[in-house]
Amino acid sequence: MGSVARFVARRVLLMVPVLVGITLVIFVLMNVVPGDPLYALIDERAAGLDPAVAEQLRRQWGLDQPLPIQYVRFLLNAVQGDLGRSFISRRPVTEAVAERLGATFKLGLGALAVALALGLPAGIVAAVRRGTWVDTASMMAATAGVSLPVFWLGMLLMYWLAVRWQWLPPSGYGGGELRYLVLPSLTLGLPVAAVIARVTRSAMLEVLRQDYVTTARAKGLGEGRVVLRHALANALIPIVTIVGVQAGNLLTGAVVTETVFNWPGLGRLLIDSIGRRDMPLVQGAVLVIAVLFALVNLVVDILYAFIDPRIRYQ
Amino acid sequence: MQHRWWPSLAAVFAVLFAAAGLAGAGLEPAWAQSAAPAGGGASVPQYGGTFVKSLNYGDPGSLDPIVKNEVAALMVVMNLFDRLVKVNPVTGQIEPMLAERWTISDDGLTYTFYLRDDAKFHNGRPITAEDVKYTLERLSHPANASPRINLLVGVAGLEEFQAGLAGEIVGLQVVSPYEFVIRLKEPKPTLLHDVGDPMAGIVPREEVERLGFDFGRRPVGSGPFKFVSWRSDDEIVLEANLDYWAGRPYLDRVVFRIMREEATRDAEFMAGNLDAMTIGEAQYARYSRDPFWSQHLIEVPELFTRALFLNNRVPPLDNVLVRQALNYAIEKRLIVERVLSNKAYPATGPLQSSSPAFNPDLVGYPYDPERARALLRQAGYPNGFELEVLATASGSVVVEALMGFLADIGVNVRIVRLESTTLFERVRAGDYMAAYYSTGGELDPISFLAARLHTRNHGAAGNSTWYANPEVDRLLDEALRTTDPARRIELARRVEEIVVADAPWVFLNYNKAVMMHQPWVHGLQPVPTDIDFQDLSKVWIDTNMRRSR
Repeated sequence: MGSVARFVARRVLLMVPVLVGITLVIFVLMNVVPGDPLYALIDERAAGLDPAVAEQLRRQWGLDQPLPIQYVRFLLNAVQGDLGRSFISRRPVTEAVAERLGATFKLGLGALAVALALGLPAGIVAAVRRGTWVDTASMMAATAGVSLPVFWLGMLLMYWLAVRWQWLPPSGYGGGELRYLVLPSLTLGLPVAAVIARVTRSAMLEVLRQDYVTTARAKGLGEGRVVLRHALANALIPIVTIVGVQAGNLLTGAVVTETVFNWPGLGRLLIDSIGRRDMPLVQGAVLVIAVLFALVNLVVDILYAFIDPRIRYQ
Repeated sequence: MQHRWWPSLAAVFAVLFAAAGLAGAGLEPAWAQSAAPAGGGASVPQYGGTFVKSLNYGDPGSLDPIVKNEVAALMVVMNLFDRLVKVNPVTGQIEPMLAERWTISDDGLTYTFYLRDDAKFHNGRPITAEDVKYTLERLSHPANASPRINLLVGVAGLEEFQAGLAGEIVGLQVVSPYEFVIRLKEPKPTLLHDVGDPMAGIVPREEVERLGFDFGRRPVGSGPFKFVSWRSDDEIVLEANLDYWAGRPYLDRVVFRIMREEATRDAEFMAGNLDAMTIGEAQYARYSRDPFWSQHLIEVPELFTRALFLNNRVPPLDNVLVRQALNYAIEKRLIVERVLSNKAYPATGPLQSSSPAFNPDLVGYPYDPERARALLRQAGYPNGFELEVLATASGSVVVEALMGFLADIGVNVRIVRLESTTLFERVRAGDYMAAYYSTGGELDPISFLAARLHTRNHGAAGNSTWYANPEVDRLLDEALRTTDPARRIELARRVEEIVVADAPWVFLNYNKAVMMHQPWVHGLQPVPTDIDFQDLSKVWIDTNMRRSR
């Protein structure tokens, strides 16, 4: 396991230039957009502000410094865990971002659970029963699943399950109650389930043709054991890869689902901050999202070693 | 894995088709139809119950009164914090609040406020004149970066204080714990409105200093409601202040649900989870025709004017004949009906129909394309010209509707779609030809007109069309010094007449704000400044009716 520790250490070190690069890109983009950050801090009516007072405000918020210095200051503070203060709420960015993480993880994990619970079985069954109506039906559902716009799917679920039949609350966080998690998880998870089902099916079809599967059957093993122990275990690499990519998206790309279901996650925070040009908050939120994404990818890479003993980390 | 494409596609179409058909079935729940009609049920106000209202504009970020000049924050803040005086949200009249009464010296320079002695902050401490002074100085201090940093312009000693030359504003004087004086350098007829602004809500110094920036997250005020909790982008909860000097409010609790998405608000409303929400054009088109819900709509012309703002310095728009031609060319009523689903009122001039100075006899510019073409010929543009119009994504829908009318008189419109911050940036800088947006929010007609039409405010300060008329300047200056309300209205109307003739804008329409509520909700008011500015101490719920659904 020493090699895994070295691998993790190297990957974490490699994250540093990636993260610095991302913050730089965001910093440049936010400053290239026309507009004086002072208006984001105060508002348009402050346009008639006395120039001396305006200058004082700029100095106070560090907006009087040349841009490269502002950026270096941001980096130095960020290393010490200080991401600055939001222009809008005037509270520390770390606090504003941290309070969203719970909701973001919950929705991401809920959606991942939906995706795996539906996608894996559907893909396996479709492969095993290849060419039958089960295969056709599940792949049709999968095609529909990836094609449906999330927004529309969410509204549809909300309308039927919450408004019409009143089984579930239409939207909101509900203080963390589980029933509030169901609809957004389904909405976010269903398209991913569809992707997983398709990848699982093709990976399984590939493996089911292999000699060792025929051998296993010839040994007289039960079909269930053949499919799960011998076939699925060997089909996992492409499946884990796609789940890994999707998991990153589930954690960080749920803006639409969060908006439709009024879920207080990171995505909405980011979109709102961009709209209001709350630069410190945009920087902070993007940085945290990038870290999350990188960490998920790291976990996936480590998982490979457990799934496939042939993979070594050097 | 080459696939049988067509059965898959067929499946997609089948699902879309079925679902779309079903979703079209309407959003009305069965219980709504059986509920009593408006006006039914109890008519005597009841105590108790929780009122849930949508907050449509995103998370307010901070509930410190001085921090954000946004509807999202102020609709909550105004119910948490008392001011020196209250501006009646419907009539615009000044009413007592923390000050029971006040006197104004004959020269209009000294205002003396007599504070009530039974008002307390939510932490139990009595409010005194020291708190008023602290609050107003905090609002004006540059270190606090308040958008209303200039609210008290005209008060003696403000400049010295803001420049750091004085430790206090000398014009704000604590005479005794319950007597407070404001001294002005020159008469300021809007002073009472200014100290009645929600952003001038009185704050307790000890809590501000104890909580620091967190004061905006856990505000302590003195209003009819107390702060309970706030989950960002989810909900803000308030509860009744049982010790309120004017008596406790009817409601036990108020929940503001922060919901940006219109369709989600619709679903929550139809599920009975929202008691009231401000609605948009698409919703209005649907609900105003519904026999049940049309009785549960509160409508008011908002103090916002939508116009095509013309850069009066740029040829050919520097020619008054051209500007008049553009005004004659557009059939405003048709745009209100077809594009805005009747959720607006056609405009005759800059002042809205709910403005105290609105002139119902003003004719403005009736639709007359013949006359418009004649004016263009007279101005030397018989073949028209090209007009570049800045608009936001939502605004460009209206501009597209204008294009046909303008093309009809030979003016070819080119729309430039911009995000709103960029649009206003260019407008303030004068870097535009024409721009479509909405402007307003002030009850006082003189403040509204002066900010947008006085030459002193050219550019970023508000007159971004660079309109200039010395007579208008003179009348506005006189009005700004006048305290007599009748005289001010007379002056506002004279200014409006001149402005309409000069046509610096193409006057299009005034927004109709609409709030929809459940049948058990009573006491919501048609507030023209912004329909979301509801005084919730007036609202009550027929709890029996709500339970029976």
